[in-house]
Amino acid sequence: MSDFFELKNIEKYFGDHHVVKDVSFQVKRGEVFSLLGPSGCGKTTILRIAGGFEDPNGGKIFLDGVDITDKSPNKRKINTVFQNYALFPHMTVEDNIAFGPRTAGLEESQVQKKVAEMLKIIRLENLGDRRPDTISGGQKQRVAIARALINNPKLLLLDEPLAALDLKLRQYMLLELDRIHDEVGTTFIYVTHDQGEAMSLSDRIAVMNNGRIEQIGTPAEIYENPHTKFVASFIGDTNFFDGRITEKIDGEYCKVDMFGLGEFPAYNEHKLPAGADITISIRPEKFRVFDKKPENENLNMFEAQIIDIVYQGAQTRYWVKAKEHRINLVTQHNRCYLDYKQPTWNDKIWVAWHRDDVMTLPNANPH
Amino acid sequence: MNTMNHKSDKKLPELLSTAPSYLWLFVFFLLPSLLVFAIAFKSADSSGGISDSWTLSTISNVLRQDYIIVLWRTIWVSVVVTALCLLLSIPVAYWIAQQPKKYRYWYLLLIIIPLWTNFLIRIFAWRTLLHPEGFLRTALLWLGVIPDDMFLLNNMGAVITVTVYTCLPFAILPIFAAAEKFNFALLEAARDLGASRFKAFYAIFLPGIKRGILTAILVVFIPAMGSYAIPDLVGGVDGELLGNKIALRASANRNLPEAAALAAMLSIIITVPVLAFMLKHKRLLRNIISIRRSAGDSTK
Repeated sequence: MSDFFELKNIEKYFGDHHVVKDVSFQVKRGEVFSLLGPSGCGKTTILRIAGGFEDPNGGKIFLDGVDITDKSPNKRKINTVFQNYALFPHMTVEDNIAFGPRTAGLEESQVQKKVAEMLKIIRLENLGDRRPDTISGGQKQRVAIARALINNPKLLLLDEPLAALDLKLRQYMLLELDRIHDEVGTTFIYVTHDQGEAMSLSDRIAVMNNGRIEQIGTPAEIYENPHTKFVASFIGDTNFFDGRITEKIDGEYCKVDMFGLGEFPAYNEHKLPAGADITISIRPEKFRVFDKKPENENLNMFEAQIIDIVYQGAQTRYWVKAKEHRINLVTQHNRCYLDYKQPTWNDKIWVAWHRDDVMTLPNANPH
Repeated sequence: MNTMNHKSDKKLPELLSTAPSYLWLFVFFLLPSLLVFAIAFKSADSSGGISDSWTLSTISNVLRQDYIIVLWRTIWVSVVVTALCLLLSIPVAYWIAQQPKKYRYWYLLLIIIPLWTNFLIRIFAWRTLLHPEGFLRTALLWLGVIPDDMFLLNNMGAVITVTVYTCLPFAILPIFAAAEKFNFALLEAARDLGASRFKAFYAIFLPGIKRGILTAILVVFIPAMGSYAIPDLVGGVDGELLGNKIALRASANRNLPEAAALAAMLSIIITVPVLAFMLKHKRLLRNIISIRRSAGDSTK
């Protein structure tokens, strides 16, 4: 797997508005690479720059070693699946899919063959002669993918492809996308604001905020080891605590003062020095709940009182109060682990976590 | 029985409320049209009136060669005018539709405002402009763009220019209405799939605004066929169209039957294909009505 698509120091302004700020990343051949971020973070603009629909104000774009920064969209071996599909309404499904190869001047018999192949891949063999307005949203989505993929692009750009679909269909199309990707092996760049989509589909994710990439990593890296407060809060749920590093224990760990809750050892990911003000992030599912103080010296713990319980079927979410902190935590209820009675409102409980499950994040933004 | 009563109960108010407009159309549109068709089967008497007896001679007289030449000229002038209007209005509509929403209607207003000036005054303005001693010809001569013996007024060129000028807003409006609803992301999709700008324009944009183009064709072609004032004022001898012949026969020559026969011929030539077309595309009819009204047309 080699880097074969690269954005280098891309800048983009709309008027005075600086929407893309020094964005660089590399995508490997065959990879599903997601740009994830809230709306307005610049991810769609980056996709449009990659597709050739916007000119960057600075920076370069390379595809397979070739600088394509100044090439127009029709001259790039890149195809796009647009947000609202953008199927041509006056053409049948077949003609939509055939648009690319026909424009390229491919012989009609070849076009027919390729279209039939694509219809088979997207499993819509029976709908070839239908118009886009007579098929469902999920079907349109698949036609849009086929229309792009038939051109054998080196890179497929997908702009929030599932945003217009309802939840059930979205989950189904996610599996379909995964299957299609496995089948054709094309490199995907996938833009979404939905962390669930990004996590389940991507090999790597770039989390964007306010025109910048905050972190690039595999879904697990991004979830388990976020580099910034924004990434920690945007991907999954978390609890933030203000804190300060009181001393470094060794190269890996440090002691943190969690203002009022006590001093605890924690993993020092960013090698922050003693005395640094930090934000401590602990995910709800990393906490464990005990009815009495656990006798396990490897655990950090404090006492808390339950203020709210939300039963969510597969799990239960508790809101607990410890000193001035409101903390949310999640427990799976597996019957075999229930060696104590389920806690209820106003119960005093002990909340414990392992020092490796603490994320210590620098307060100062690296940018 | 009961349901029948119920139905007729509802029918009566509907009938009463629509009756005035039907009556209006019958008295002032259908009846006069039928009269024109009827008079075409009469002949003129020496005093400029209409004879009592029925005849086919007026009709066959109208089919003689010099009329057919004028008819043919009217058709090709109208076709050229329509084509030029489309050629000019499609890019304009394409451009306006892509402007920020807050500016779009100002641009449209700029197109519509001239229509609020009286039609005849605008044509006289063109006469001044195209006059042999006028600004335009003097300027073009000075620039050496046109030869000394070329005149801009009193020829077919003047008729086409001025007719295109008058009809252009009516072509822009329906095409703009269609272009405004057009999803411009489709052009990006086409470009993405390898189409050049030009290919995306004709393979995706033009089919996408088809309805607007068809409306524009009708709104321009039909009035152009019946054009009378423009060729009369800027057309000279060579610029005469069928409308002028009809006017001449009806007023100067006092030959009402022949004028009626010519008018009948013109309306059949226009109505039959257009009606057939409209029955297929019923929405077009509504478009045309609303567009001419919304522009505050002072032409007719």
